[in-house]
Amino acid sequence: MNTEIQSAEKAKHEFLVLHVRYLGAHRPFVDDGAPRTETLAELKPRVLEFFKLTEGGGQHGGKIYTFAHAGKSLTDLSTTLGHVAEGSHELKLDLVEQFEQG
Amino acid sequence: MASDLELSLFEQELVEVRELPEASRWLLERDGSVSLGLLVTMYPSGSPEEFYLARIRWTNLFEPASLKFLRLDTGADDDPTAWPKCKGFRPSSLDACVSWTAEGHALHPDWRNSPKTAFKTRDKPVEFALLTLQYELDVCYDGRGHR
Repeated sequence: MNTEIQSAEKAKHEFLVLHVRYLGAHRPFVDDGAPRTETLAELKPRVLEFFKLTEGGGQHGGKIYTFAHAGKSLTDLSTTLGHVAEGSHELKLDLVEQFEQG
Repeated sequence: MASDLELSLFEQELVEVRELPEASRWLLERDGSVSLGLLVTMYPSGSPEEFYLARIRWTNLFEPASLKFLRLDTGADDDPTAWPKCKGFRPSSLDACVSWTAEGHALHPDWRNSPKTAFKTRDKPVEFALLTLQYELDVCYDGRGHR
């Protein structure tokens, strides 16, 4: 196996293609080279910035954003993208807005 | 009365949402009694035997939609047992006090005053309402309402 193929294989195992759909938005967040070791906590600021969203509570409550995968909420933000994707080279997540009443 | 833009976007979205992967779990039809409304039968992923008929209507497509649940057999909109119990849903009051419904904002007019609580207009309001409701059923469902 030549070096180029080896590098491509290595990249395939270290990175994945990530799509994050924000419900109701035209364009998804896409990262063709998202590290499999990236945690949801590390990913979240990148995604919120892309969709121009601010999380926060207050006296009257506020919005929080949660990732979901295959209809299940991903509440453990220390989870890595690779763990969620399992063996797949592609991962599709939803970003869901929730409202915490104050 | 809905504007031409709203009607056009609504028609376009009615086609597009049927292509969503989630749509394979829905029975979706237009609510012919209003300009901007639909009826959708959904079920929670954890309770696939529990069907709910939701009626979603917009007075303005770019504002929160009205959400009601109807009896599957009669279409009546005054039965708490037609409602799922989800976060913020109040079957006994026949409303959903959440930030994406008209009923929630009617109960909390102050929500409009802060960007932290105001409704954020969506590019695809129909898709947003349907997927948000499906998410609530899949993730937050806690049984059927009772009288």
